[in-house]
Amino acid sequence: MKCLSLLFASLCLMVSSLQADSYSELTKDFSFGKADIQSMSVLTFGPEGLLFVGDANAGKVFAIDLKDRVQNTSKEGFSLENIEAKLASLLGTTPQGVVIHDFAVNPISQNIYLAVSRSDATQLGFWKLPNDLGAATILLKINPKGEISEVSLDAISFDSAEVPKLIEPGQQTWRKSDMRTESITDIAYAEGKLYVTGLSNEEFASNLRILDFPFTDKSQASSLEVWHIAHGKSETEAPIRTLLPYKFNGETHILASYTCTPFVSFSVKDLEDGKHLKVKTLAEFGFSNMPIDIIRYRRDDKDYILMSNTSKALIKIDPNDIPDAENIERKLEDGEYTVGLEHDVLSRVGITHIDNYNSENVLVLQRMPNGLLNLRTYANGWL
Amino acid sequence: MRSKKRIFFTCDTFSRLWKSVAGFLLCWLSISPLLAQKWSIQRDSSSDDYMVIKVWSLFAERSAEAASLQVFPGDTIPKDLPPMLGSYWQDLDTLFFRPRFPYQGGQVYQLYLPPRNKVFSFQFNLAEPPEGSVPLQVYPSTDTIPANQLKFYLAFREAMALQSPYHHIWLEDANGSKLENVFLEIDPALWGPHQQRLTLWFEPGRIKRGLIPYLSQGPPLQAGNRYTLVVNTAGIRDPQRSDTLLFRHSFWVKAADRQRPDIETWTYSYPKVGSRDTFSIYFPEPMDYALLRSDIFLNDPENNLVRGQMIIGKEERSYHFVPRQAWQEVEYRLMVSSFLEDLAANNFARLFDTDKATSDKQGGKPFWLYHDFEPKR
Repeated sequence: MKCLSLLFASLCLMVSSLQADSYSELTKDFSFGKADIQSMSVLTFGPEGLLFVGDANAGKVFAIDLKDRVQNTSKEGFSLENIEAKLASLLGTTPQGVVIHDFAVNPISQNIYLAVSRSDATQLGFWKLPNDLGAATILLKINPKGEISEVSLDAISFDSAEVPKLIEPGQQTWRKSDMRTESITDIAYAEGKLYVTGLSNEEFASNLRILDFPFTDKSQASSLEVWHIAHGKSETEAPIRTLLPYKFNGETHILASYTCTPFVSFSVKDLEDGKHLKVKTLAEFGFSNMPIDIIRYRRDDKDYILMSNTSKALIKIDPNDIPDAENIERKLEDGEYTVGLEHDVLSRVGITHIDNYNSENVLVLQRMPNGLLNLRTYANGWL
Repeated sequence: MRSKKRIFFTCDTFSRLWKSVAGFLLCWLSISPLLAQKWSIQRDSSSDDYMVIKVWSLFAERSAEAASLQVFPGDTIPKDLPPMLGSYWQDLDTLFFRPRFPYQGGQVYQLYLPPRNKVFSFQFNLAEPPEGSVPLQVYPSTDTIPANQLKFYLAFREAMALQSPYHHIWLEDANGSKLENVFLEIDPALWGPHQQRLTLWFEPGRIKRGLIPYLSQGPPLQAGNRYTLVVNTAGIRDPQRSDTLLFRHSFWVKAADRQRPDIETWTYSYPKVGSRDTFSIYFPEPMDYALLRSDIFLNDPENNLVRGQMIIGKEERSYHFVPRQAWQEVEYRLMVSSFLEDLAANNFARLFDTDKATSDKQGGKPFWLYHDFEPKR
């Protein structure tokens, strides 16, 4: 028994020292000071409670050490109703003067981090999303009790990397936004790599860059071409809106979706620096829609993929259907709305951003039928 | 020797937005008449950039009460919403609130202070000033000045049209009699930018002992007496106007101040590392309002100016600095020019009025006075 205890103690020690090593290794190049962030376009958590921020205006990605690493193993849900009123009060403005651009949940602590701006929300519309304003400079933290505080970016431990060859400001998208706001549309971390989607300044603008993390001087970039079923043509200028690295048979793939709403999958090993890649279109999930976030979650010991959208409720996909799904390269026929990969559209209303809250819950930002914006969880078992 | 650098007190992005409207927006206040006897709120006139709200309160004797100050946007005090983010601090019996993000034009805010388990609410609105009124702040703002006071600063809320304002400004004694030959009339008058701030000198020949005006007319102010500075703001604002809007500022006079200021008598309140807390300096006597804004600097160890915003405390007895970036764990150097004056224009290098025959040689080149400190851990 004593031997077992000793063994357990030494195992614990090994695990904790491994974690400490990983943390100190990942943050060894970080510096303390002001993180000069111009627009928090997208947020995602990486390893060891490090927050990645994609900044389209600055053309950079930041890795921020929030020093928020106290493990929270709770399986409880979360609810904060009427979040716009609360943020408005904190920021000294009206609920219509607050815009939430993105959020991410720290998987270690279950604290929620919001990218926020004091912007005029009435500028937003069907095709106009918060990040088209390119204005989020306020980082707020919400703890599991629902208490909100500001995270000062003036004095923080961080590292940053330039994202090369981004589209310059000054040109307008068909949605009447500056194209620069689409230079970084989403970021995702997996196994030492940060994947960054958005528009480049090259002939084929849609681009996927892969940066090493910890950041180095090197990065790899590939232009992407997608067959757009609803439009009936091949496109190279539309950026991926949201992506998720996912492993099939030990090989990392990128699952991603575009506006109006082609769904694609491709292997990371097919990406080469400076090369063009035509990706497989597995589905059309419906036009007049923009995908926002895509996550994986577990239900009944099985993985599912969940995608939130501007117009459609949550789209749920079984990842087992993806490897064998066929490439579709034809135009939607009259009367067709969705084709390809089998999927469910869950009965929820007004959900924009989503993230995993803990092992049992998914956090959503949800506009309720009464107009209030709530930040709340749905149990994985209900999704 | 460190070289003198210009300091630019800049504001954050939101503050700049605010600044563009701050020129024509003013705070107006409606206070319950019952409470008005004990409370008043005013916008800090030393800073249009970020709209500090001063709350003058007889209750505000304990710092715990300063910490309970809350500000909310909206028409009512909400039951379940958090108060605005910002800094709260106390200077003597004045509470300050500086919002993290500037007030927005047209937005109504509620100010809330629950001292001693009582709750008072104030409402103030950001709106254009009523037609014809010209709010004015006089410096020194203390109600007691030395008999050898040298200058007044008149800070108007808007640009004044009249170049030569002297026949609209006079001093009355306690009986209401107008006093003659009190102020130095300079042409052009000493207006600041946009003709919003006027520097008004007492006739220096009546301050410096031994000069003919002093010997023939005596000093303009007598210790122990009460006086009132009267300003016809309507006439200074618009020379065509025939009506008058009299602004009156009364004060007591104490004995002449014939001591140089001494930095060794200053006390400090230090900020914490990693915060944007206020660094405060407290003076044993009021200092010159205008020179406080130009003669105090803060440098980092690399000799770079620390940028941020300053607030001049109540009665110009304190100076507060909020850095733009958080305090680092390094040694900062407070630099004070020897030109900084007290109310009687005595600076660190010399007295304004001294007998050359009996006193040591004074003046010479300007120099810097230092105070080094590290923020608290």
